[in-house]
Amino acid sequence: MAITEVPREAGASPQAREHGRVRRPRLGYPLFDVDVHTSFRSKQDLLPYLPERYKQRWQDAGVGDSPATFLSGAGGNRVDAVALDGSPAGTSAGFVAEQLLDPYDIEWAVCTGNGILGLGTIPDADYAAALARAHNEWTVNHWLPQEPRFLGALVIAQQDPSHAAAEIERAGGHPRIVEVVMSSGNIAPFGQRRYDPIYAAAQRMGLPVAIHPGTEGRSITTPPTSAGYPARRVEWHTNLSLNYIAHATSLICEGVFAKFPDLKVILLEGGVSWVPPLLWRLDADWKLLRAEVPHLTELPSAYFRRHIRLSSQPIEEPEDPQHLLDAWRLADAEHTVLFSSDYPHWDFDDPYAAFPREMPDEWKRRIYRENARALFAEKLAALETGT
Amino acid sequence: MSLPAAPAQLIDCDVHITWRTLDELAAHLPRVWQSRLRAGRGTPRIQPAFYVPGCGFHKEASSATGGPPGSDPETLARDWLDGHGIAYAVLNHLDMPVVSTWGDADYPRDLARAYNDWLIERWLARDRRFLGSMVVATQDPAAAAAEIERAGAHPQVVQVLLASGTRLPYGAPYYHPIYKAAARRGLHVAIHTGTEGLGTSNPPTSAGWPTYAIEWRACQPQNLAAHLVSLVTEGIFVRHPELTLVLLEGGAAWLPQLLWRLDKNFKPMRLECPWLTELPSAYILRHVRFGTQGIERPADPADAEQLWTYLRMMEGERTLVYASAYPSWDMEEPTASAVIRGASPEAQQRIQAQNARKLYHLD
Repeated sequence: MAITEVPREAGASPQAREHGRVRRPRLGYPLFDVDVHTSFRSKQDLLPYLPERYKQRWQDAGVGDSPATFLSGAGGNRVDAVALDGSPAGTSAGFVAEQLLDPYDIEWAVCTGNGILGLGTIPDADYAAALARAHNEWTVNHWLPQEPRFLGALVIAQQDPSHAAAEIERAGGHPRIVEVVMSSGNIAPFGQRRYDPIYAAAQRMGLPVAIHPGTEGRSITTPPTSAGYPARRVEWHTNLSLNYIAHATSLICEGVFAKFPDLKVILLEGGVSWVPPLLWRLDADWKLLRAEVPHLTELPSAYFRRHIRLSSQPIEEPEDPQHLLDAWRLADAEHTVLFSSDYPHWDFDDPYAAFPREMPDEWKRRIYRENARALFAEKLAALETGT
Repeated sequence: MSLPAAPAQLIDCDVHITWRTLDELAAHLPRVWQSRLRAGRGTPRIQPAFYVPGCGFHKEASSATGGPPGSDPETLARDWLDGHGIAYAVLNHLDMPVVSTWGDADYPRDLARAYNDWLIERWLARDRRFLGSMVVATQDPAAAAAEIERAGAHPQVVQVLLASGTRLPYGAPYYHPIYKAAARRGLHVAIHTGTEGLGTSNPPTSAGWPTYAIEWRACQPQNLAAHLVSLVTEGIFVRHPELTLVLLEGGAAWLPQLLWRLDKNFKPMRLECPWLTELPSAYILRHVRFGTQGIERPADPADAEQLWTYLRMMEGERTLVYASAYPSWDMEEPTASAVIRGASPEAQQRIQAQNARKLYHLD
């Protein structure tokens, strides 16, 4: 497929240009959004990419048995994200451009899927892997060609790491596939060595690995908190950041970044301000306990800062915005945080309204744009020079 | 940073006690359980899955009677209380809560009862400066409530000590009889870390079982956070406005981020818990206290200000209480606590004494 028709004008889809809506980005530079939830319009869309034996199952059972355990009555998407032609939220490329990319000056948007990551919780690893592959084929063949600002995330089924690694090798070379994404609800902490094949493949293909919340507690995953199952969504959603603490701790302490020195991990929707206290604790304990982790040759905080990136949405909202700035300064957010809107989910962050006004311009520029561009530099270079 | 003055009325909210030998506990236990108590697996002792070298007792802690440190009331009173000008000390047993992670309900219930009798007879009756954390077996909440009615009547019993490792978060209706009984007796509830993942409890992290002790320890706060979120959203502090939750040895600086996320989520989802008439953070800051021992801190003492940047966001001058963890290997003397040293003089006074004095209605 053709992938070279990338517009050089920021914030300008072909549609926008056609309608004469090209304008200068309001901060003088365009933004990079690392978490946009786009999706197939109906299950039918994936059928051409599924093996015969899974077609009925996909139509009947989808990604699993208990997708709505902690969904609120209001649903997961913004009600105004339904396109004028009736397309469900995030399924019309034109409407995503009109509602998100154009008005918010978004030059690049990583499409992380919507309603598909639950495949990471399916007991049957073969079916999950077939779904992942079908979604990736649909992404590459159907979705990305519709809008040059879309970048793709490769969905994998972590239940079978060697199979997942093969999928990364198979599809990860596509010029607009920029990362691997998997669900943070899992059967084990992600640093454990059973997942090494995934990280080896991702490193080989030059792709960061993102984990995305939403499946905690579903199907084969562990309870959503170490205290057990919470009762309601307000608890479950608040506790998602705790699961990220466990995964980040595991990734660092198991030595994933010592084994795979070029690997980057993106923690999506997990928050930011928990980082400094966690790193204080890990660094202090590393001095006490480093006999059990001789593969760590640096302080845990050094691995964190070099290898882990955090997305901004849902932005933390202390009553006093200065608290956010203080915490983010200690988290080195200027260098570790990537802007994400989470469009079209209900808790979407408007980049121009969600961040504290007092945040220094230089932080914003890095968070809105430069940190993500550095992370995906290799693929962006090829895309932007048209090679 | 300023060096704290030695206050005359220091209150230590976490002193670890134990028995010289199991005979002391056995004396309070029905005959039917006597052999089980000594059968190894029936001994109330935390046997963690993770190995932490060098933990145990602090090298300066001793017991004149030949038992382990923290097993002799006179020695503890002399060495720790007299030696540091401590007016009151809350006595906790690190291992006893583990009985709530065992499958059986009857033996743990009787063990808890035996412990409470031992606590009162051997410790509380000997020195008015000793305050006690009673224990219950949560496998049978009705029996636990009855035990709180019974043992909680002692004037020096100030709180119920619960295990951090559970099957269910502590806000669950299953546990409500325990809070009701505690509130009726004017007791608070404390959770001490150390039992995550043990017995019948859930894996020690939400992501499952980690591999190393360093991971287990780093994730202990998330267990307390999950309990806290559950307790507040379930409305425990609405039902029992006098009840306070005391969190021990699980850090504290993780709280601000949790408060922000919880408040933010509460605004659109408050229909799920309409009994909350204030922001969750308001309940938490009013009803939760953190012991100072083991609070996460920057490695370089020169960065101590960073810690208070976080502690100020959780009103640390009001929400922290001094806790030593004497005589554990990682105990913190009142003047050596990094948390206290980094506080303003006024906050030091509050954390070392006033907050706990108010909490436990002392004098």
